[in-house]
Amino acid sequence: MLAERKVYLIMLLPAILYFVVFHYLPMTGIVVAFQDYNLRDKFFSPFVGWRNFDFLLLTGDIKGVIRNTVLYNLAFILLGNAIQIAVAIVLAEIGGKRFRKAAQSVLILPYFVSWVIVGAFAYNLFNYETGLLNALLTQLGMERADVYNTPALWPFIIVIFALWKSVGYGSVVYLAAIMGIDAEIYEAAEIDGANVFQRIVGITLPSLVPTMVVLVLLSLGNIFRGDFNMFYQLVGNNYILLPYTDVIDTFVTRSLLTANDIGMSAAAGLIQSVFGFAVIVTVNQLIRWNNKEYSLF
Amino acid sequence: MNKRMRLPIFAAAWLLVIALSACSGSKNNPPAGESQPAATGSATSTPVDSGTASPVADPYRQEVESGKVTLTMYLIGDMPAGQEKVLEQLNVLTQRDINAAVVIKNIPWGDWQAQYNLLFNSGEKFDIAYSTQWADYNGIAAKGGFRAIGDEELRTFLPQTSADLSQESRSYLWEQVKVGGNAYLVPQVYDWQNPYAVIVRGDLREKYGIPEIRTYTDYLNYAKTIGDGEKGIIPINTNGNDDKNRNPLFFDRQWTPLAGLFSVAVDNKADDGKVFAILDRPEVAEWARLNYEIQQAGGYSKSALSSKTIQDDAFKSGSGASSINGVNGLIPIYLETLKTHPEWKPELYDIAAQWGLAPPKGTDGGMAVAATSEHPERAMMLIDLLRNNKEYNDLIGLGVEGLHWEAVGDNKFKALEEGQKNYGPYANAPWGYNTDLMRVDESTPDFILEWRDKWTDQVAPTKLDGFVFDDTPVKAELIAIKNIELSVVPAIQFGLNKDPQRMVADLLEKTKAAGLDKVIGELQKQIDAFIAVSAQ
Repeated sequence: MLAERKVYLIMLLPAILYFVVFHYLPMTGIVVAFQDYNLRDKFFSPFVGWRNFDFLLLTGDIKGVIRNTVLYNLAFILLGNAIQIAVAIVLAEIGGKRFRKAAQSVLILPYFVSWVIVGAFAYNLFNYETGLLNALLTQLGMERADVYNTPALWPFIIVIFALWKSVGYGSVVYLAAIMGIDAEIYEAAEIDGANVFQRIVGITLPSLVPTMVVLVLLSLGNIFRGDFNMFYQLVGNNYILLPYTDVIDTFVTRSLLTANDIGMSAAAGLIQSVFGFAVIVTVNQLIRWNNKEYSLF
Repeated sequence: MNKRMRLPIFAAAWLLVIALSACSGSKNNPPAGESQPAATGSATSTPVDSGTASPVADPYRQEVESGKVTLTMYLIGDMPAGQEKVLEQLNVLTQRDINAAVVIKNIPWGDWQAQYNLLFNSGEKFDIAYSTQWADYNGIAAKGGFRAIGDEELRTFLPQTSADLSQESRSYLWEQVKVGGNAYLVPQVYDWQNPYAVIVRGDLREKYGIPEIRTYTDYLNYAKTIGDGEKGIIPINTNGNDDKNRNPLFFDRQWTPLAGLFSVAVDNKADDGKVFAILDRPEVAEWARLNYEIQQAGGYSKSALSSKTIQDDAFKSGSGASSINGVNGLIPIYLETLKTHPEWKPELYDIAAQWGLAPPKGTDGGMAVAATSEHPERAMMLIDLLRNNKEYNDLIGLGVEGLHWEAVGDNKFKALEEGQKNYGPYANAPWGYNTDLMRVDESTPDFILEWRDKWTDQVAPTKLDGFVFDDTPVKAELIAIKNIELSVVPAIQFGLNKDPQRMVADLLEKTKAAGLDKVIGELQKQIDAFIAVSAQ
């Protein structure tokens, strides 16, 4: 049997090698999280136990920060996937190969814009004195909006920006999955008298469930990682907004930016990975109990 | 293997090659800083084994003749457009004198800390870097990022520097750059002071009848009045990370902040070596209140916390009405504004020097040799030349003579148009090799020259000069407190909270919860020990 699969195994080899070299071997670096790392001794630096984790707890804000990270990621995953599926379905239904390709290109473009530029763009949009938004409001005779000092607005602003950026890219996978559904099933349903919505709900969505499970499960593994670039560029070090917008990555960066302490940075990353791992294993197990076929492993 | 399998196997092999090629280079362990023991005595000791048998060979000459090398030097600051031409000329000189080529790499100001630290953390191979206290010189030296310069090496490969530093008035500098007994930095030093000064719009000041600015509080009142009056201008138009305006009493050195924090300081007026938390002092509450009023009057931008504006640029463009910076940084702005907008009547005020200026410290700035350098001796020679040789110093500081500047006598210069456009005088991170060789801009207004003379008389040493805090026992607390400060202090600085007194009290509470008292205790302990030792 191995001989039959030889070709496939050989094709798999580069990927396996990549993971071994870049993901498994570096796991030995976890030890840095427990060391007072210095450049001379490198991996043999003095061992300090749990001390590198202290700074996370000392400010007392860590609970709120973790809550923000998890909630934002849940919003991105749920809303993101829902909108991506919707977009993919719309693109699939509104025929026309040309239209589909053009629409996809336009939707994907935001993904490639750097957050630095988006941050500058957002500042020019929202800032109090010279922002575009406030210029519009004053033209209409309304009061200026002090966006950067109104924390309640920001969960919405951040979710909208994040979705704007990622929806196009994410819908590609779903679109590919939809294209892979056998057209005969649709024709059979049409003959039986199903209208468009019944076809979508009855055929397209169930066929997408395996893809959805895989993508959501993979995203859940990163639920404790905030997109540092996005939060830092949009918000900066804005004290007023921090209770609503601080995530683990910005918290750690702010703490360690000038400290230049590799051990502590490693400790923070380790916490994110360990918790993410726990989440992904738990959810996978839950899915397994529900329906063995859909789980990842 | 049959024909069917040839293509997939070929493709797999190709992918493998690509994957493996990405591995190269990332695992190179740089040679750990070879600790050259400071050889004692004999002038014939040859740190470089050149293989020649001559027992009285000059090690300096031997190093030069051992072969041509390329030295890489890192500077902090955006690359000036004229650097290429300067490098060309510099390479001619270095080829002639020390048989070396030089490559300069610049770390732009945006996000410089991350990139600069990365140089050392990633083990990148380079030779020289600018280092200073505000770029964590002590931390990086302690971590092994720099290569130690032994006393013998100082004499052999940095002969001119060695002669300069052995002067009575300068010898303390070499001791000040030592970390754990070894020196890692070749300190620059010159007699000019560079205190903070402020540049304002004279036309607006006269329009609103504001008297001349003598103190920091006068400056804040100027901002308040102009913010009130002129709706299109933000008098202090700067970004949330700008800490120049952050320190109310650090500004004129009444208090000196410690451990890189905002909340902890010593009082220089009393000079009693007592560490205290500044947040329960009435001066800070007053400053917070004043900032709130300025914000209400429109003196600060409401979106300052998320802005990326730079004060200097805002002043030059007219969207701001003032700027604070070291006086050497403000002079070019002053001169430029006199030319482009004379109707603004720019004025410079020296408001920081009143309480006494700090004496120059060894760790104020200098050039360091990287631990990963493969040609440390040649690197030291280059530093020596840049620092002490007039030809090199003029070239790297001012640019190519005749193209970027022209000499006016022995120690003055005149910047030519090409220079102002592409290679601003002393604007390419020159602070690593500034010495008495620096030339004075001939268009410098006389009052500046008077100030400089005045300042040398205003140097006021305190008991704490030269004190370096070892933060290992309180590292986690320091990080937690810095985190809190970084988020709260800018909000107070820009008056963005309706109840500034509450905010100050909050900040004190939070920092105490994060271990402020422990930090103060540790600081006091080390300071007492330092004072006891230096009193002997």
